[in-house]
Amino acid sequence: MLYRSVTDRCFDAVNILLLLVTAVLMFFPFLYIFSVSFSSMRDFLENEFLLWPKEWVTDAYRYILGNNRFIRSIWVSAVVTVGGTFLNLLFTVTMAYGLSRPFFGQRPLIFMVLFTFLFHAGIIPTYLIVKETGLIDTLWALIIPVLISPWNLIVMRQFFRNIPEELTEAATVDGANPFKIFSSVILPLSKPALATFGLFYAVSHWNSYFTGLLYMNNPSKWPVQVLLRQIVIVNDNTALLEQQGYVQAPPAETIQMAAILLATVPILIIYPFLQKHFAKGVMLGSVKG
Amino acid sequence: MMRQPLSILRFFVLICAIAVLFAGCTAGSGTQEPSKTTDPSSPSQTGQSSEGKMHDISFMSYAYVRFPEPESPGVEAIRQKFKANVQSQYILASDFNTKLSVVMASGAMPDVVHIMSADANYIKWAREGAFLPLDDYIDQYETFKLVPDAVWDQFRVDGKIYSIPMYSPTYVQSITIRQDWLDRLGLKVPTNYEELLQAAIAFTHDDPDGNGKDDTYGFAMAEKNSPEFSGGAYWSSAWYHKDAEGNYIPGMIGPGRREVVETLAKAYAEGAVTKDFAVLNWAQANQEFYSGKAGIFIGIPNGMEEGYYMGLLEINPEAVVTSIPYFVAPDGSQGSLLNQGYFGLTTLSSALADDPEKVEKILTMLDYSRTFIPPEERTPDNEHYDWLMGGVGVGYDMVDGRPVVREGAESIAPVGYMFAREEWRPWAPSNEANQYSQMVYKDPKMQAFIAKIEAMEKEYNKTPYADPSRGVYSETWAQQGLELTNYLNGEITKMISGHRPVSEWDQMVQEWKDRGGADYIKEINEGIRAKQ
Repeated sequence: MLYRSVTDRCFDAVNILLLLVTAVLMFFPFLYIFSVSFSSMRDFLENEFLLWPKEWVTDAYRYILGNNRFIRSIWVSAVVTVGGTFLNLLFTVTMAYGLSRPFFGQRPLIFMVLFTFLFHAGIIPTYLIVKETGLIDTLWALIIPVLISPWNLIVMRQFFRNIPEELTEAATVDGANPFKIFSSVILPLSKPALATFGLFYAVSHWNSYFTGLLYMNNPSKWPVQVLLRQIVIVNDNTALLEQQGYVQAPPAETIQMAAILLATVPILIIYPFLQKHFAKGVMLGSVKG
Repeated sequence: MMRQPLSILRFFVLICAIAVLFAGCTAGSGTQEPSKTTDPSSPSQTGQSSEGKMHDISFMSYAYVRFPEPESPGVEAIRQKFKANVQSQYILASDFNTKLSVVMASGAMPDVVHIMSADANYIKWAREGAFLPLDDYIDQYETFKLVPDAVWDQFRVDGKIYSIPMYSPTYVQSITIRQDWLDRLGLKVPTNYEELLQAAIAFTHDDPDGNGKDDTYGFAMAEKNSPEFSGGAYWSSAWYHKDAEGNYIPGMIGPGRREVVETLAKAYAEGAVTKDFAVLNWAQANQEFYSGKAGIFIGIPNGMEEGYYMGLLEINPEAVVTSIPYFVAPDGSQGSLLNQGYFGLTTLSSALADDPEKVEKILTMLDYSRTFIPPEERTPDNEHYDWLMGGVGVGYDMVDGRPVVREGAESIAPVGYMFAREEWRPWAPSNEANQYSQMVYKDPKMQAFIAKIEAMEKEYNKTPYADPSRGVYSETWAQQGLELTNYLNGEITKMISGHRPVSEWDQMVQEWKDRGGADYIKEINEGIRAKQ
């Protein structure tokens, strides 16, 4: 054991305390959501602040899971997230790898990527493209327009460029073709990058609601975030509309909290599994030895 | 050398497999399309010659809380009765205009859209010819003829009618107060703002709930200084007052509003207004009142949330809320502003001009769903009613001789797919004909509370006032309305919370006018004169 001075210990203590406070602050909202979702409406109204349900009630969950809307939209989101992330990675990785190796005509291609990075089409032009290509009302509309994120592509390319050229040369000498090199040498080395960008893509798929709202005319294909908005968002002009007598109150807070919890947990579960890669991964593209 | 083609092959097989998997998923969740029997020779249709053809009708509307499913028994019932296959989508109200703009810009307007209001976009689209003019149809359908001119005038564009309005009563919010608190403190129901202020202060300092704790106060309020707490049209935001030149001015800068703000400012200084109202949303203000903390709020016969009131009674069983009669104004009037009398506009795409048969079918269905059925006839014996609401025991139940809509009925009752909203709002001959207290609310205590408001409306709404500015378009307002409103709201919030003296009212009004309010007043007055 190394000798530690009093100042060191004090520093550690303060450090740990601060981090604990931060952790508790992060954990607080989750606990609140969790508790309210399992409370009765009466307990919720009576108490200023609930941190633990007084009596456990599962009404809110029964209400949400009672009709198949929620489960169906979770399924839609799951399909888009899993399938979309896979395709995102496939296309991002292959293109990034291609661009990381010198070839004729590379510069214009990179320029085009950078161009989309800086200039986006507006909502309406994008909608028109999606519509004219017949993607409206298919889950592809949630995947193809966001197939490659230029930012991720560029960072990924940088990562590939940092893999020593000698490795590929050695594999070529051993008789591997470019596909073999890619699948057996490059990809295994890129696991942290894959995990990181997979997570980025997955989270953005899971959280996206606007594309779902715009491109899905059939509500049975709405992803869970669109549904969550319906349940949770309280209209800005509710007061005005209530004056007209045209708004019912939003669903009870307990139901809102239950919906938030159900929509957040699936994506939260992924984090621990990817974390070991993640810590390594976010450093990508930074200075390497 | 064998390896090379194999790994490429594997790669492509994998991609194909994924693609097939996806196609399977999309098709799986997408095959809810009904069997479309558009073939005219199909045997099922030979019997009905008049409306023999099945029409696909796409329909977009908005909802706040209850969202009808796209495929449901209600849709099936409409297919059988009207030979119409309604493909509906209900969008969250706050996202509706965004989606509508995109859809309209792409030129793919659904056959029928229930638009929220006749705003600048509505006028623009109508002028661009996106909507089907409906003037020729108005006289052909009973429920369209019932709509008063005052309502049509509010959304005519260049003299033409492009929409069928959905019914809304002309009730507005009136002030409510905790009767049990008044009784305990020996106070009478206030008849003017001075007495209302005294009651609010007494509620704050004199422990009206008798629990020995300092946990009550007067006015429950939320951001944007809502609600208005208007004791009648004189104090409302309507164009009621006139300035020195005889021009109408909006109520928000009028003497009535000033009196309300003075009252609230005095109350706030005594702690008798929700302390952090400027940052509370409407739901939170409701909670202030319905948790028994605040004693003064608002009520309206239609559109109250029963759950809130029942929650108050659960926490506070002896609570009694009563309606405050409209105050007598200095000019002798006593009554409320009339609400606009409609809400939401069923609008058809101009692409339907080539298909008069389909237009007729849409309007026939709309008319059928708008027909007023007197409350006492809303029983399973009334075939019309029973069909619209999805059938007794399925879409609604008869409880104590009156229908109670079932939870989840928005996806069962055909009425949710008949080109308006998920709720049934027939065109009623008068406010009272609706009998809201009996028909909308379930619990007898809630009914009694609403009945008090209805009785008050009947007895004290002696001089109901129609706002002359309705349906008058102002370019200034279209461009700067939000900014002007935000400015006024911000300054009034400062006045109520004591950060700016109410004595600076006239300065505030002048500044508001200088920012564009003057042009707004001018344009509206020109419009009013042009109408007369």
